[in-house]
Amino acid sequence: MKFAKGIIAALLLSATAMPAWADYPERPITLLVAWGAGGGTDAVARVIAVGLEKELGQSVNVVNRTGGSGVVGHAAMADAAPDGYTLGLATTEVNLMHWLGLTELDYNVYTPLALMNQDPAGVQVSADSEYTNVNELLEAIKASKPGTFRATGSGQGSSWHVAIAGLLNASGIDASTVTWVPSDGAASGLQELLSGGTEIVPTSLVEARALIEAGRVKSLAYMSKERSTLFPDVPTLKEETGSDWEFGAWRGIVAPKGLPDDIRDKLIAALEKVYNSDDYNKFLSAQGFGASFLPGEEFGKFLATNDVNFGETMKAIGLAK
Amino acid sequence: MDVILQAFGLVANPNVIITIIAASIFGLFVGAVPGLTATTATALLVPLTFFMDPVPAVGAIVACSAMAIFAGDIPAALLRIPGTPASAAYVDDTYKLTQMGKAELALGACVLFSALGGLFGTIVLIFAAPSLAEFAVKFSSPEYFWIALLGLTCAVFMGASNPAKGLLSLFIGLVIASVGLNNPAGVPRLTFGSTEMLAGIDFIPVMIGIFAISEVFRTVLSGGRSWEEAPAAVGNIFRDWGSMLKRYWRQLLRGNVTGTVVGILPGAGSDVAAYVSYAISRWFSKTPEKYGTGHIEGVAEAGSANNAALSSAWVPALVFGIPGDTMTAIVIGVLYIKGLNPGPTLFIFNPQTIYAVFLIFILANLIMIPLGWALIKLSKNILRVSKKVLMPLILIFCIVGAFASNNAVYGVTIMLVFGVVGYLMEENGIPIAPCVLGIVIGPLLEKNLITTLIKSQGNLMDFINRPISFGIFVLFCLIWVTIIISWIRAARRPDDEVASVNAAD
Amino acid sequence: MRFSDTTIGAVFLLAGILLAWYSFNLPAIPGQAYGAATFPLLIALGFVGCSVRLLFSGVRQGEPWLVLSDEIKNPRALAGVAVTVLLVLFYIFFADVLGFIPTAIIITFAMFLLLKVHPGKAIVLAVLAALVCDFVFRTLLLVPLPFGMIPRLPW
Repeated sequence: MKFAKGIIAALLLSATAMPAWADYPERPITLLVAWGAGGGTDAVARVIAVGLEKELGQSVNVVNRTGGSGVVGHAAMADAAPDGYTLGLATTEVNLMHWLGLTELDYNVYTPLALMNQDPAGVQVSADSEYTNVNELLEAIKASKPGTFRATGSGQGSSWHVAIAGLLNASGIDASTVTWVPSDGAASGLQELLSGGTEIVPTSLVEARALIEAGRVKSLAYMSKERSTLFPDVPTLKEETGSDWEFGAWRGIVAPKGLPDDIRDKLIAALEKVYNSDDYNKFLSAQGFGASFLPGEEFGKFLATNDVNFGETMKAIGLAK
Repeated sequence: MDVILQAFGLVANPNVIITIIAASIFGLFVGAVPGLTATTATALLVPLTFFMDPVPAVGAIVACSAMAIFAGDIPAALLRIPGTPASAAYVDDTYKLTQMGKAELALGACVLFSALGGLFGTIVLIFAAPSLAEFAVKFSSPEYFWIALLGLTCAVFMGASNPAKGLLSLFIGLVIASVGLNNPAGVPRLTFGSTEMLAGIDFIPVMIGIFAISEVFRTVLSGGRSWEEAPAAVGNIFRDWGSMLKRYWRQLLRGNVTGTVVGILPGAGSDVAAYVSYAISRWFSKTPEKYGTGHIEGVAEAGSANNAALSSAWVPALVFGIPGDTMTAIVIGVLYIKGLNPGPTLFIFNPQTIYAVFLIFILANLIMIPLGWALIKLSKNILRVSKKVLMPLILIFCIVGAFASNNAVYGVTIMLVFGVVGYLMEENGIPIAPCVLGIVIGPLLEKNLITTLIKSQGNLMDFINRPISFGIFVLFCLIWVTIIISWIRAARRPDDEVASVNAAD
Repeated sequence: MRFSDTTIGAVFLLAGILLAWYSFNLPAIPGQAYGAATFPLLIALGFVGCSVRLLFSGVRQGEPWLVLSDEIKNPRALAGVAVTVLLVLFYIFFADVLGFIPTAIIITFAMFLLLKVHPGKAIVLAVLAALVCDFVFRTLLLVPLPFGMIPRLPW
């Protein structure tokens, strides 16, 4: 028990040894995460927490509030007191779940602080698939009977479902031609792809990384403006098809609405330093996560346009209520 | 051989050894606290691993998770509060042994079989990882569907004197598992408009309620009396090891194999392994009526299975980056940070590091024995405390544990509700184990049922038209034919049934 | 508190029917025949099956509908259970306002008195237990126990 105490004490000490340079923060900060311990979002949150501890001189505890496809955690972020002692790492779902009719809550309930990371989706197929580029795949889908092609990688109406549906929609194909098979997440989706249960997995490249590197899965296109640094050989969707469709899962720090301006500015400055720190960048590049930063207002604008785009796509494909 | 020597060099470094021991103690401690699982323990370690070299970083996680799974057995045996879901499978046996004054037998078995199970899983991991991973990724939703159904069949062997009540308990568990948004359709079910209930009913507070809080109720009802007789000592935990190994080597072997197989399959972890192997053990046992009454046979099999599953879950994680359970999901993240990218190449480009990790697996399972012994020595003092004093402390401990499961007071509400439910179920002869099994396996079953139906557009043939799924389907049918024959026999000889009911009481 | 098989059967028959009715009203996945309703419908079927079996045997045996065990008939014991439940409810509703430490002290102290522990011993143990829980869970394991009106302790 002494050792355990030692480990944690060392961690806390390393965080609190820094001098506090103003009134806020006077006590530890809670960083809420709507996803489980051990997932990608949790890992990002824990790295940001370590960075914020260094910047703010107070310990930052990551607290997981999981379940309900993110609704529970995102609601907790909005319901907390806007005193700067409860922050949240919000994810793409903020702009999805209210369109699905799961909650009233949308991006307007938060004070946006900083976008910290963005992972564009790819179009992955099995390595032994006959399609060598995304145009061939889309042609084949167009000519196929509904239900011949099946895609998976996340839950019904969640991020990657919108990614593939939007791609089909933008290519002039009825989105219901490809059956969406709901899964718990990218890992079980990829398992389905390997076992021959589905044909397409439109997750981010990071999630498919181990299997792409192992030569079991290939990525045909990348739904972003620029090519990925992780796999620069994968062409962007625009290069291949000319389509303007883009989709990325993003993660950003938010606070409840009504956060005082001075605290907000202090946090934005601290987050920018965390984003530019070696530790954060080393972590992102080691994991293969996409770096992307937008402070305060700009993050807010990003959320607004992102929300409108998702809404349009989801209405077009019949997912929005 | 050269590689193995290099690996030894990486491990035999005071820093590495100290890290592993510290992480082990941390894992023991967190695992023994109800509400905090082995996954929580591992997640708490992650920020620390950022500052470590690859070998100690991964080693710390290996050691911590193995200890946490074993440590869950200690509060289960002493207080009937399973520390981790995997310990819930055989909590009745170990707790009753403690009440009979045989805590040393129960806890000794837990340490011994946990360590042996972990070692077996590790050996499989070392020698067969790549080829087993190839096999595991052939499993698609129909295969998982049949496996989940096989798992549910275990409910039949869970000692209901009245099969209808046993099945009823199972269906209660399945209903609990269906609450919330976490279903393939993403539709809120049975949430009654509550945001909290969108998350569903978390397994950990249910477990704390159904086992521990119901026990608190019983104590209060009896005014604390029935408790005083319970013997206070824990003797030498090593005393019975020789005889246990001699008697239960078959169970050990079977538990190891079951645990390893379940662990390798992504999506099913050590909790499922423990339940399934407990049921298998009961099915093959010559004395199935003794299960759940303080019998060591099932503990031996399930205790080794859950630790074996823990090691073998690394197989798909290392080879394909597909996590076998929540713990390995964390591990994969750490591996990337440390530049040990999962994949077949890991075994080619970085063999000394990966072999060092394997050595740590072995080491961790060996130091589990002395550390486990020390923790048991320490925690046995609990039994000296009068039960009148102990129960209020257990209550507050349970409240905090239930709160910690999702950091919300909602967990405490669930705990309370299921405390009452657990009490009523036991009073009315509705066994608890099938209900817990339903909660564990329900989501797996529904997900794969619906996914298969969606993929096949409703064609039922798709459930059996792949070779592996057909194989499991045939096995499933054979098992059910055997069960039904045994039911018919029992119905023909009603005296037998009465006898077994009496024995089970 | 023992219910007869007939009562249990009747309750779960009703539960099964309600569950089936509820499931029928769940929305479908657009374009799919199977969705959120499939699994609960199968469970409802299982409930109905088991309860019919229980009703059948229950009616044949003709047990009384409800048997109260001796403990339940004892008003003191029953009050004890009621207090336990109320204490947990107290935590659920007041922990956020009062903070973990005072709530925990009240709960454990009340429980000790209920089980007839000497009040002096009880108060010492209750305070100690609350502080230890706070230290272990909040400080060591980073569980965000509610502060409420209590300031953060020095550790």
